[in-house]
Amino acid sequence: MSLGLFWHVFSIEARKLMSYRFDFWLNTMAGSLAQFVLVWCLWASIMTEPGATRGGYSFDGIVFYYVAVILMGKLVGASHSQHDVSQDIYDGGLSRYLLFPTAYFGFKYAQRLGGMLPAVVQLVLLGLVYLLVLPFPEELHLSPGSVLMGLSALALANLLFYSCIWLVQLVAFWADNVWSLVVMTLFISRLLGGSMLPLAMFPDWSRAWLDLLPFRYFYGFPVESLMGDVPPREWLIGMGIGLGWCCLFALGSRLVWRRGMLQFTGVGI
Amino acid sequence: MGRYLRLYLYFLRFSFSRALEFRLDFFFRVVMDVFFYGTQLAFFGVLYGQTSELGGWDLPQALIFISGFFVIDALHMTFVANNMWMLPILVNKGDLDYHLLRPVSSLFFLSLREFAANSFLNLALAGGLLGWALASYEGPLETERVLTFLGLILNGAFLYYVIHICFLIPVFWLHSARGLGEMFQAVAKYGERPERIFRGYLRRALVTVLPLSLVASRPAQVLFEGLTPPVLVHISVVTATAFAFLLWFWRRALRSYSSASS
Repeated sequence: MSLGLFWHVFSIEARKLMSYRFDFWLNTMAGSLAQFVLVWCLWASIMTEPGATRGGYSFDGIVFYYVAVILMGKLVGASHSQHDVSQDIYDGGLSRYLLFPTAYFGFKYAQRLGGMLPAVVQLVLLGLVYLLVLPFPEELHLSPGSVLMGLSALALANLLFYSCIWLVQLVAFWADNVWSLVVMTLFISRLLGGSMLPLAMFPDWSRAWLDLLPFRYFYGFPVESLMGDVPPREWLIGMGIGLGWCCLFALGSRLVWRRGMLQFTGVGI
Repeated sequence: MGRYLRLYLYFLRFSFSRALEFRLDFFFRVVMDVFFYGTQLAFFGVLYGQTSELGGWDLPQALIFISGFFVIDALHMTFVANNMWMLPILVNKGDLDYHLLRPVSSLFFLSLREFAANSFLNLALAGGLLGWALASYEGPLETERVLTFLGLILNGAFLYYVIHICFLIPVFWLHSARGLGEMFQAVAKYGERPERIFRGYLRRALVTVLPLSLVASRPAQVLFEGLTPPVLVHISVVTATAFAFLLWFWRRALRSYSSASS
Protein backbone atom coordinates (compact mmCIF):
# COMPACT_ATOMS: atom_id res chain seq x y z
CA MET A 1 0.00 0.00 0.00
CA SER A 2 1.44 3.39 -0.97
CA LEU A 3 2.14 5.94 1.76
CA GLY A 4 -0.08 8.51 0.02
CA LEU A 5 -3.10 6.20 0.01
CA PHE A 6 -2.38 5.16 3.60
CA TRP A 7 -2.37 8.81 4.68
CA HIS A 8 -5.57 9.53 2.70
CA VAL A 9 -7.49 6.66 4.34
CA PHE A 10 -6.06 7.69 7.73
CA SER A 11 -7.23 11.30 7.40
CA ILE A 12 -10.73 10.38 6.17
CA GLU A 13 -11.27 8.09 9.12
CA ALA A 14 -9.87 10.66 11.57
CA ARG A 15 -12.18 13.39 10.23
CA LYS A 16 -15.14 11.02 10.35
CA LEU A 17 -14.66 10.25 14.03
CA MET A 18 -13.82 13.82 15.00
CA SER A 19 -17.03 15.07 13.36
CA TYR A 20 -19.11 13.77 16.30
CA ARG A 21 -17.78 16.32 18.78
CA PHE A 22 -20.17 15.53 21.57
CA ASP A 23 -19.16 11.87 21.36
CA PHE A 24 -15.54 12.89 21.51
CA TRP A 25 -15.86 15.11 24.58
CA LEU A 26 -18.21 12.73 26.35
CA ASN A 27 -15.81 9.88 25.80
CA THR A 28 -12.70 11.98 26.52
CA MET A 29 -13.73 13.73 29.65
CA ALA A 30 -16.60 11.81 31.19
CA GLY A 31 -15.70 8.25 30.10
CA SER A 32 -12.02 8.45 31.06
CA LEU A 33 -12.82 10.36 34.25
CA ALA A 34 -15.38 7.73 35.26
CA GLN A 35 -12.81 4.96 34.79
CA PHE A 36 -10.20 6.94 36.70
CA VAL A 37 -12.47 7.75 39.66
CA LEU A 38 -13.45 4.08 39.94
CA VAL A 39 -9.87 2.81 40.26
CA TRP A 40 -9.03 5.70 42.60
CA CYS A 41 -11.91 4.73 44.94
CA LEU A 42 -11.05 1.03 44.72
CA TRP A 43 -7.41 1.45 45.66
CA ALA A 44 -8.04 4.23 48.19
CA SER A 45 -10.31 1.78 50.03
CA ILE A 46 -7.62 -0.92 49.97
CA MET A 47 -4.52 1.18 50.72
CA THR A 48 -5.72 2.96 53.82
CA GLU A 49 -2.49 2.88 55.84
CA PRO A 50 0.09 5.60 55.01
CA GLY A 51 3.09 4.46 52.94
CA ALA A 52 1.39 1.18 51.97
CA THR A 53 2.46 -0.61 48.82
CA ARG A 54 0.79 -3.36 46.76
CA GLY A 55 2.70 -5.35 44.16
CA GLY A 56 5.57 -2.87 44.56
CA TYR A 57 3.37 0.15 43.83
CA SER A 58 2.54 2.99 46.19
CA PHE A 59 -0.95 4.52 45.94
CA ASP A 60 0.35 7.29 43.65
CA GLY A 61 2.17 4.65 41.59
CA ILE A 62 -1.02 2.63 41.11
CA VAL A 63 -2.92 5.78 40.14
CA PHE A 64 -0.24 6.57 37.54
CA TYR A 65 -0.35 2.96 36.28
CA TYR A 66 -4.11 3.06 35.76
CA VAL A 67 -4.10 6.53 34.16
CA ALA A 68 -1.50 5.24 31.70
CA VAL A 69 -3.44 1.99 31.09
CA ILE A 70 -6.71 3.88 30.51
CA LEU A 71 -5.17 6.40 28.10
CA MET A 72 -2.69 4.12 26.33
CA GLY A 73 -5.25 1.31 26.26
CA LYS A 74 -7.46 3.44 24.00
CA LEU A 75 -4.58 3.50 21.52
CA VAL A 76 -4.34 -0.29 21.66
CA GLY A 77 -7.95 -1.51 21.87
CA ALA A 78 -9.58 1.14 19.64
CA SER A 79 -13.19 0.04 19.93
CA HIS A 80 -14.08 1.39 16.45
CA SER A 81 -12.03 -1.31 14.73
CA GLN A 82 -12.78 -4.41 16.77
CA HIS A 83 -15.51 -5.80 14.52
CA ASP A 84 -14.88 -4.18 11.13
CA VAL A 85 -13.36 -7.19 9.34
CA SER A 86 -15.97 -9.71 10.52
CA GLN A 87 -18.69 -7.23 9.54
CA ASP A 88 -17.22 -6.95 6.02
CA ILE A 89 -17.19 -10.74 5.69
CA TYR A 90 -20.61 -11.11 7.26
CA ASP A 91 -22.44 -8.59 5.08
CA GLY A 92 -20.46 -9.25 1.90
CA GLY A 93 -18.82 -5.80 1.97
CA LEU A 94 -15.43 -7.50 1.65
CA SER A 95 -16.06 -7.90 -2.11
CA ARG A 96 -15.68 -4.14 -2.54
CA TYR A 97 -12.24 -4.15 -0.93
CA LEU A 98 -11.08 -7.10 -3.01
CA LEU A 99 -11.54 -4.94 -6.11
CA PHE A 100 -9.37 -2.15 -4.69
CA PRO A 101 -5.80 -2.11 -6.05
CA THR A 102 -4.39 -2.29 -2.53
CA ALA A 103 -3.99 -4.78 0.33
CA TYR A 104 -7.04 -5.22 2.55
CA PHE A 105 -5.02 -5.38 5.77
CA GLY A 106 -3.14 -2.14 4.94
CA PHE A 107 -6.39 -0.37 4.13
CA LYS A 108 -8.06 -1.48 7.36
CA TYR A 109 -4.98 -0.71 9.45
CA ALA A 110 -4.88 2.84 8.03
CA GLN A 111 -8.57 3.22 8.96
CA ARG A 112 -7.80 1.93 12.43
CA LEU A 113 -4.95 4.38 12.97
CA GLY A 114 -7.04 7.27 11.63
CA GLY A 115 -9.82 6.40 14.02
CA MET A 116 -7.36 6.68 16.88
CA LEU A 117 -6.82 10.40 16.51
CA PRO A 118 -9.43 11.20 19.21
CA ALA A 119 -7.59 8.83 21.56
CA VAL A 120 -4.27 10.61 20.84
CA VAL A 121 -5.89 13.95 21.70
CA GLN A 122 -7.24 12.37 24.90
CA LEU A 123 -3.81 11.02 25.80
CA VAL A 124 -2.17 14.43 25.40
CA LEU A 125 -4.96 16.43 27.10
CA LEU A 126 -5.55 14.13 30.07
CA GLY A 127 -1.82 13.36 30.38
CA LEU A 128 -1.19 17.08 30.82
CA VAL A 129 -4.02 17.36 33.35
CA TYR A 130 -2.47 14.46 35.31
CA LEU A 131 0.96 16.11 35.35
CA LEU A 132 -0.53 19.40 36.55
CA VAL A 133 -2.96 18.08 39.15
CA LEU A 134 -1.84 14.75 40.62
CA PRO A 135 1.30 13.93 42.63
CA PHE A 136 4.17 12.26 40.83
CA PRO A 137 4.86 8.81 42.32
CA GLU A 138 8.28 8.37 43.92
CA GLU A 139 8.91 4.98 42.32
CA LEU A 140 8.41 6.36 38.81
CA HIS A 141 11.66 6.40 36.82
CA LEU A 142 10.43 8.48 33.93
CA SER A 143 13.20 9.49 31.51
CA PRO A 144 13.53 10.19 27.77
CA GLY A 145 14.70 6.57 27.44
CA SER A 146 11.70 5.13 29.28
CA VAL A 147 9.32 7.33 27.27
CA LEU A 148 10.89 6.09 24.05
CA MET A 149 10.71 2.47 25.25
CA GLY A 150 7.09 2.97 26.32
CA LEU A 151 6.08 4.51 23.00
CA SER A 152 7.85 1.79 20.99
CA ALA A 153 6.13 -0.87 23.10
CA LEU A 154 2.83 0.96 22.53
CA ALA A 155 3.33 0.88 18.74
CA LEU A 156 4.02 -2.84 18.96
CA ALA A 157 0.98 -3.33 21.22
CA ASN A 158 -1.22 -1.62 18.66
CA LEU A 159 -0.07 -3.88 15.86
CA LEU A 160 -0.09 -7.00 18.03
CA PHE A 161 -3.61 -6.37 19.30
CA TYR A 162 -4.93 -5.79 15.80
CA SER A 163 -3.16 -8.91 14.49
CA CYS A 164 -4.79 -10.95 17.25
CA ILE A 165 -8.27 -9.47 16.75
CA TRP A 166 -7.87 -9.78 12.98
CA LEU A 167 -7.24 -13.53 13.24
CA VAL A 168 -10.23 -13.96 15.56
CA GLN A 169 -12.46 -12.01 13.18
CA LEU A 170 -11.49 -14.20 10.23
CA VAL A 171 -13.53 -16.99 11.85
CA ALA A 172 -16.45 -15.05 10.33
CA PHE A 173 -15.73 -16.90 7.07
CA TRP A 174 -17.30 -19.95 8.74
CA ALA A 175 -19.38 -18.61 11.62
CA ASP A 176 -22.38 -16.35 11.18
CA ASN A 177 -21.44 -14.06 14.02
CA VAL A 178 -18.09 -13.75 15.77
CA TRP A 179 -18.92 -10.76 17.96
CA SER A 180 -18.86 -13.01 21.03
CA LEU A 181 -15.44 -14.41 20.10
CA VAL A 182 -13.98 -10.90 19.85
CA VAL A 183 -15.52 -9.86 23.17
CA MET A 184 -14.18 -13.07 24.75
CA THR A 185 -10.68 -12.14 23.54
CA LEU A 186 -11.11 -8.68 25.05
CA PHE A 187 -12.12 -10.14 28.45
CA ILE A 188 -9.05 -12.37 28.55
CA SER A 189 -6.65 -9.73 27.30
CA ARG A 190 -7.85 -7.16 29.85
CA LEU A 191 -7.32 -9.54 32.75
CA LEU A 192 -4.12 -11.24 31.61
CA GLY A 193 -2.75 -8.12 29.91
CA GLY A 194 -2.63 -5.97 33.04
CA SER A 195 -5.54 -3.67 32.22
CA MET A 196 -7.75 -4.75 35.13
CA LEU A 197 -4.89 -5.19 37.60
CA PRO A 198 -1.12 -4.65 37.38
CA LEU A 199 0.49 -8.00 36.54
CA ALA A 200 2.89 -7.52 39.47
CA MET A 201 -0.07 -8.38 41.73
CA PHE A 202 -0.65 -11.78 40.18
CA PRO A 203 0.66 -14.84 42.05
CA ASP A 204 4.36 -15.59 41.45
CA TRP A 205 3.65 -18.97 39.81
CA SER A 206 1.64 -17.27 37.07
CA ARG A 207 4.13 -14.54 36.16
CA ALA A 208 6.37 -16.65 33.91
CA TRP A 209 3.31 -17.80 31.94
CA LEU A 210 1.96 -14.28 31.65
CA ASP A 211 5.31 -13.12 30.24
CA LEU A 212 5.10 -15.72 27.49
CA LEU A 213 1.48 -15.07 26.48
CA PRO A 214 0.75 -12.21 24.06
CA PHE A 215 -1.66 -10.35 26.38
CA ARG A 216 0.98 -8.69 28.58
CA TYR A 217 2.29 -6.89 25.50
CA PHE A 218 -1.11 -5.24 24.90
CA TYR A 219 -1.29 -3.15 28.07
CA GLY A 220 1.07 -4.01 30.93
CA PHE A 221 4.35 -4.04 29.03
CA PRO A 222 4.00 -0.57 27.39
CA VAL A 223 2.96 1.01 30.70
CA GLU A 224 5.71 -0.72 32.71
CA SER A 225 8.23 0.36 30.06
CA LEU A 226 7.00 3.96 30.27
CA MET A 227 7.27 3.88 34.07
CA GLY A 228 10.89 2.76 33.80
CA ASP A 229 10.17 -0.57 35.48
CA VAL A 230 11.58 -2.67 32.62
CA PRO A 231 15.39 -2.86 32.32
CA PRO A 232 16.71 -2.53 28.72
CA ARG A 233 17.62 -6.22 28.40
CA GLU A 234 14.21 -7.35 29.62
CA TRP A 235 12.60 -4.78 27.34
CA LEU A 236 14.40 -6.20 24.30
CA ILE A 237 13.27 -9.71 25.23
CA GLY A 238 9.71 -8.43 25.69
CA MET A 239 9.73 -6.70 22.32
CA GLY A 240 11.07 -9.91 20.79
CA ILE A 241 8.25 -11.97 22.32
CA GLY A 242 5.68 -9.41 21.16
CA LEU A 243 7.09 -9.40 17.62
CA GLY A 244 7.15 -13.21 17.66
CA TRP A 245 3.43 -13.25 18.50
CA CYS A 246 2.81 -10.69 15.74
CA CYS A 247 4.50 -13.02 13.24
CA LEU A 248 2.53 -16.02 14.53
CA PHE A 249 -0.77 -14.16 14.24
CA ALA A 250 0.18 -12.92 10.77
CA LEU A 251 1.05 -16.44 9.65
CA GLY A 252 -2.15 -17.84 11.13
CA SER A 253 -4.19 -15.06 9.50
CA ARG A 254 -2.60 -15.74 6.13
CA LEU A 255 -3.53 -19.42 6.29
CA VAL A 256 -7.06 -18.77 7.54
CA TRP A 257 -7.56 -15.98 4.97
CA ARG A 258 -6.58 -18.31 2.10
CA ARG A 259 -8.93 -21.05 3.30
CA GLY A 260 -11.68 -18.53 3.95
CA MET A 261 -11.39 -16.87 0.56
CA LEU A 262 -11.94 -20.22 -1.14
CA GLN A 263 -15.45 -20.32 0.23
CA PHE A 264 -16.30 -16.61 0.42
CA THR A 265 -19.35 -16.00 -1.76
CA GLY A 266 -19.66 -12.25 -1.28
CA VAL A 267 -23.40 -12.60 -0.86
CA GLY A 268 -23.61 -11.56 2.78
CA ILE A 269 -26.42 -12.21 5.22
CA MET B 1 -52.01 -7.32 30.47
CA GLY B 2 -53.02 -10.62 28.83
CA ARG B 3 -52.39 -9.09 25.41
CA TYR B 4 -48.85 -8.10 26.45
CA LEU B 5 -48.19 -11.56 27.84
CA ARG B 6 -49.39 -13.19 24.63
CA LEU B 7 -47.25 -10.82 22.61
CA TYR B 8 -44.21 -11.66 24.74
CA LEU B 9 -44.75 -15.37 24.16
CA TYR B 10 -44.60 -14.67 20.41
CA PHE B 11 -41.33 -12.79 20.97
CA LEU B 12 -39.95 -15.84 22.81
CA ARG B 13 -40.97 -18.28 20.08
CA PHE B 14 -39.50 -16.08 17.37
CA SER B 15 -36.23 -15.53 19.29
CA PHE B 16 -35.71 -19.23 20.06
CA SER B 17 -36.27 -20.28 16.45
CA ARG B 18 -33.85 -17.58 15.27
CA ALA B 19 -31.20 -18.52 17.84
CA LEU B 20 -31.29 -22.13 16.70
CA GLU B 21 -30.55 -21.01 13.13
CA PHE B 22 -27.20 -19.60 14.28
CA ARG B 23 -25.94 -22.52 16.34
CA LEU B 24 -22.27 -21.58 16.39
CA ASP B 25 -23.11 -18.10 17.64
CA PHE B 26 -25.32 -19.73 20.27
CA PHE B 27 -22.28 -21.67 21.49
CA PHE B 28 -19.95 -18.64 21.30
CA ARG B 29 -22.31 -16.53 23.39
CA VAL B 30 -22.42 -19.16 26.12
CA VAL B 31 -18.62 -19.46 26.16
CA MET B 32 -18.23 -15.65 26.11
CA ASP B 33 -20.26 -15.27 29.29
CA VAL B 34 -18.31 -18.09 30.91
CA PHE B 35 -15.16 -16.09 30.21
CA PHE B 36 -16.79 -12.94 31.61
CA TYR B 37 -17.60 -14.75 34.84
CA GLY B 38 -14.14 -16.30 34.93
CA THR B 39 -12.31 -12.98 34.49
CA GLN B 40 -14.42 -11.26 37.15
CA LEU B 41 -13.86 -14.09 39.64
CA ALA B 42 -10.13 -14.08 38.88
CA PHE B 43 -10.08 -10.28 39.32
CA PHE B 44 -11.55 -10.57 42.81
CA GLY B 45 -9.29 -13.54 43.54
CA VAL B 46 -6.14 -11.57 42.69
CA LEU B 47 -7.46 -8.43 44.42
CA TYR B 48 -8.06 -10.35 47.65
CA GLY B 49 -4.45 -11.50 47.41
CA GLN B 50 -3.61 -7.85 48.14
CA THR B 51 -6.16 -7.16 50.85
CA SER B 52 -8.24 -9.08 53.36
CA GLU B 53 -11.38 -6.99 52.85
CA LEU B 54 -12.92 -4.76 50.24
CA GLY B 55 -15.64 -2.30 51.19
CA GLY B 56 -16.09 -4.20 54.46
CA TRP B 57 -16.50 -7.60 52.81
CA ASP B 58 -14.23 -10.62 52.90
CA LEU B 59 -13.75 -12.86 49.85
CA PRO B 60 -16.76 -15.20 50.41
CA GLN B 61 -19.02 -12.16 50.82
CA ALA B 62 -17.56 -10.53 47.71
CA LEU B 63 -18.20 -13.76 45.80
CA ILE B 64 -21.88 -13.65 46.75
CA PHE B 65 -22.02 -10.00 45.68
CA ILE B 66 -20.34 -10.60 42.31
CA SER B 67 -22.41 -13.74 41.67
CA GLY B 68 -25.51 -11.63 42.32
CA PHE B 69 -24.23 -9.20 39.74
CA PHE B 70 -23.72 -12.10 37.28
CA VAL B 71 -27.39 -13.02 37.66
CA ILE B 72 -28.39 -9.40 36.99
CA ASP B 73 -26.07 -9.24 33.98
CA ALA B 74 -27.46 -12.54 32.65
CA LEU B 75 -31.04 -11.29 33.06
CA HIS B 76 -30.07 -8.10 31.26
CA MET B 77 -28.30 -9.95 28.45
CA THR B 78 -31.20 -12.37 28.06
CA PHE B 79 -34.16 -10.03 28.14
CA VAL B 80 -33.10 -6.55 27.03
CA ALA B 81 -29.46 -6.15 25.93
CA ASN B 82 -30.02 -7.02 22.25
CA ASN B 83 -32.86 -4.52 22.13
CA MET B 84 -30.69 -1.83 23.69
CA TRP B 85 -28.04 -2.34 20.99
CA MET B 86 -30.68 -2.00 18.29
CA LEU B 87 -32.36 1.14 19.63
CA PRO B 88 -29.83 3.74 18.34
CA ILE B 89 -29.79 2.03 14.94
CA LEU B 90 -33.58 2.12 14.69
CA VAL B 91 -33.64 5.80 15.68
CA ASN B 92 -30.91 6.82 13.23
CA LYS B 93 -32.30 4.85 10.30
CA GLY B 94 -35.81 6.11 10.86
CA ASP B 95 -36.97 2.51 11.37
CA LEU B 96 -38.63 3.39 14.65
CA ASP B 97 -41.75 4.31 12.66
CA TYR B 98 -42.72 0.67 12.28
CA HIS B 99 -42.64 0.19 16.03
CA LEU B 100 -44.44 3.40 16.90
CA LEU B 101 -47.37 2.45 14.68
CA ARG B 102 -48.13 -0.73 16.62
CA PRO B 103 -51.03 -0.73 19.07
CA VAL B 104 -48.84 -1.52 22.09
CA SER B 105 -46.51 0.50 24.32
CA SER B 106 -43.48 1.44 22.19
CA LEU B 107 -41.21 1.21 25.24
CA PHE B 108 -42.42 -2.32 25.97
CA PHE B 109 -42.03 -3.38 22.37
CA LEU B 110 -38.59 -1.87 21.82
CA SER B 111 -37.21 -3.06 25.17
CA LEU B 112 -38.38 -6.66 25.07
CA ARG B 113 -38.91 -7.58 21.43
CA GLU B 114 -35.77 -9.66 21.12
CA PHE B 115 -35.15 -12.33 23.73
CA ALA B 116 -31.54 -13.57 23.65
CA ALA B 117 -32.15 -17.30 23.79
CA ASN B 118 -28.40 -17.88 23.58
CA SER B 119 -27.87 -15.97 26.85
CA PHE B 120 -30.63 -17.95 28.53
CA LEU B 121 -28.25 -20.81 29.36
CA ASN B 122 -25.97 -18.31 31.07
CA LEU B 123 -28.78 -17.34 33.36
CA ALA B 124 -28.72 -20.92 34.66
CA LEU B 125 -24.93 -20.76 34.94
CA ALA B 126 -24.99 -17.44 36.82
CA GLY B 127 -27.74 -18.80 39.07
CA GLY B 128 -25.59 -21.87 39.72
CA LEU B 129 -22.62 -19.69 40.67
CA LEU B 130 -24.80 -17.68 43.03
CA GLY B 131 -26.14 -20.90 44.57
CA TRP B 132 -22.58 -22.18 45.03
CA ALA B 133 -21.44 -18.86 46.59
CA LEU B 134 -24.40 -18.89 48.99
CA ALA B 135 -23.95 -22.56 49.89
CA SER B 136 -20.23 -22.17 50.59
CA TYR B 137 -20.73 -19.06 52.75
CA GLU B 138 -20.01 -19.96 56.36
CA GLY B 139 -21.77 -17.00 58.02
CA PRO B 140 -25.41 -17.10 59.14
CA LEU B 141 -27.92 -16.81 56.27
CA GLU B 142 -31.60 -17.01 57.13
CA THR B 143 -34.05 -18.13 54.45
CA GLU B 144 -36.01 -14.91 54.79
CA ARG B 145 -32.90 -12.84 54.07
CA VAL B 146 -31.96 -14.98 51.08
CA LEU B 147 -35.46 -14.54 49.62
CA THR B 148 -35.28 -10.77 50.20
CA PHE B 149 -31.86 -10.75 48.52
CA LEU B 150 -33.23 -12.58 45.48
CA GLY B 151 -36.15 -10.15 45.28
CA LEU B 152 -33.77 -7.20 45.43
CA ILE B 153 -31.62 -8.80 42.73
CA LEU B 154 -34.66 -8.80 40.43
CA ASN B 155 -35.27 -5.17 41.34
CA GLY B 156 -31.58 -4.50 40.60
CA ALA B 157 -31.95 -6.03 37.14
CA PHE B 158 -34.87 -3.69 36.47
CA LEU B 159 -32.89 -0.67 37.69
CA TYR B 160 -29.95 -1.71 35.51
CA TYR B 161 -32.25 -1.73 32.47
CA VAL B 162 -33.67 1.70 33.37
CA ILE B 163 -30.17 3.19 33.72
CA HIS B 164 -28.99 1.60 30.48
CA ILE B 165 -31.88 2.86 28.38
CA CYS B 166 -31.65 6.33 29.94
CA PHE B 167 -28.06 6.47 28.67
CA LEU B 168 -29.26 5.57 25.16
CA ILE B 169 -32.29 7.84 24.84
CA PRO B 170 -30.20 10.99 24.13
CA VAL B 171 -29.50 9.40 20.73
CA PHE B 172 -32.82 10.97 19.66
CA TRP B 173 -31.08 14.36 19.84
CA LEU B 174 -27.40 13.48 19.34
CA HIS B 175 -27.73 10.93 16.49
CA SER B 176 -24.59 9.09 17.54
CA ALA B 177 -24.70 6.56 20.35
CA ARG B 178 -21.03 5.65 20.38
CA GLY B 179 -19.96 8.07 23.10
CA LEU B 180 -23.06 7.31 25.16
CA GLY B 181 -22.54 3.57 24.81
CA GLU B 182 -18.93 3.80 25.91
CA MET B 183 -19.93 6.14 28.73
CA PHE B 184 -22.47 3.59 29.98
CA GLN B 185 -19.87 0.81 29.80
CA ALA B 186 -17.51 2.94 31.93
CA VAL B 187 -20.17 4.00 34.43
CA ALA B 188 -21.77 0.54 34.72
CA LYS B 189 -18.52 -0.73 36.28
CA TYR B 190 -19.48 1.19 39.45
CA GLY B 191 -22.24 -1.36 39.92
CA GLU B 192 -19.68 -4.16 39.84
CA ARG B 193 -17.88 -2.85 42.94
CA PRO B 194 -19.02 -2.80 46.59
CA GLU B 195 -20.87 0.38 47.55
CA ARG B 196 -18.67 1.04 50.58
CA ILE B 197 -15.49 1.61 48.60
CA PHE B 198 -17.07 4.92 47.54
CA ARG B 199 -17.19 7.99 49.75
CA GLY B 200 -19.04 11.31 50.08
CA TYR B 201 -21.08 12.77 47.24
CA LEU B 202 -20.14 10.00 44.86
CA ARG B 203 -21.58 7.36 47.18
CA ARG B 204 -24.73 9.43 47.64
CA ALA B 205 -25.06 9.80 43.87
CA LEU B 206 -24.66 6.05 43.40
CA VAL B 207 -27.66 5.33 45.60
CA THR B 208 -29.88 8.13 44.30
CA VAL B 209 -29.48 9.86 40.91
CA LEU B 210 -27.36 7.10 39.34
CA PRO B 211 -28.40 4.16 41.51
CA LEU B 212 -25.83 1.61 40.36
CA SER B 213 -25.00 0.65 43.94
CA LEU B 214 -28.63 -0.39 44.43
CA VAL B 215 -28.29 -2.89 41.58
CA ALA B 216 -26.19 -5.60 43.26
CA SER B 217 -24.22 -4.08 46.15
CA ARG B 218 -27.13 -2.98 48.36
CA PRO B 219 -28.96 -6.30 47.94
CA ALA B 220 -25.79 -8.08 49.13
CA GLN B 221 -25.59 -5.70 52.11
CA VAL B 222 -29.20 -6.54 52.94
CA LEU B 223 -28.31 -10.23 52.81
CA PHE B 224 -25.48 -9.82 55.32
CA GLU B 225 -26.98 -7.14 57.57
CA GLY B 226 -30.73 -7.54 57.20
CA LEU B 227 -33.42 -5.36 55.67
CA THR B 228 -34.48 -2.32 57.65
CA PRO B 229 -37.61 -0.26 56.80
CA PRO B 230 -35.58 2.84 55.76
CA VAL B 231 -33.53 0.72 53.32
CA LEU B 232 -36.69 -0.82 51.86
CA VAL B 233 -38.33 2.60 51.46
CA HIS B 234 -35.15 4.01 49.95
CA ILE B 235 -34.86 1.25 47.33
CA SER B 236 -38.58 1.43 46.50
CA VAL B 237 -38.61 5.21 46.13
CA VAL B 238 -35.47 5.28 43.97
CA THR B 239 -36.78 2.48 41.72
CA ALA B 240 -40.19 4.13 41.29
CA THR B 241 -38.62 7.54 40.64
CA ALA B 242 -36.17 6.08 38.11
CA PHE B 243 -39.03 4.36 36.25
CA ALA B 244 -41.15 7.54 36.28
CA PHE B 245 -38.17 9.47 34.93
CA LEU B 246 -37.71 6.88 32.17
CA LEU B 247 -41.36 7.19 31.10
CA TRP B 248 -41.11 10.99 31.02
CA PHE B 249 -37.76 10.92 29.20
CA TRP B 250 -39.08 8.43 26.63
CA ARG B 251 -42.13 10.59 25.88
CA ARG B 252 -39.91 13.67 25.49
CA ALA B 253 -37.61 11.73 23.16
CA LEU B 254 -40.46 10.47 21.00
CA ARG B 255 -41.71 14.05 20.59
CA SER B 256 -38.27 14.92 19.16
CA TYR B 257 -38.19 11.95 16.81
CA SER B 258 -38.29 13.23 13.25
CA SER B 259 -38.26 9.86 11.48
CA ALA B 260 -35.54 11.19 9.17
CA SER B 261 -32.80 8.68 8.55
CA SER B 262 -29.06 9.27 8.57
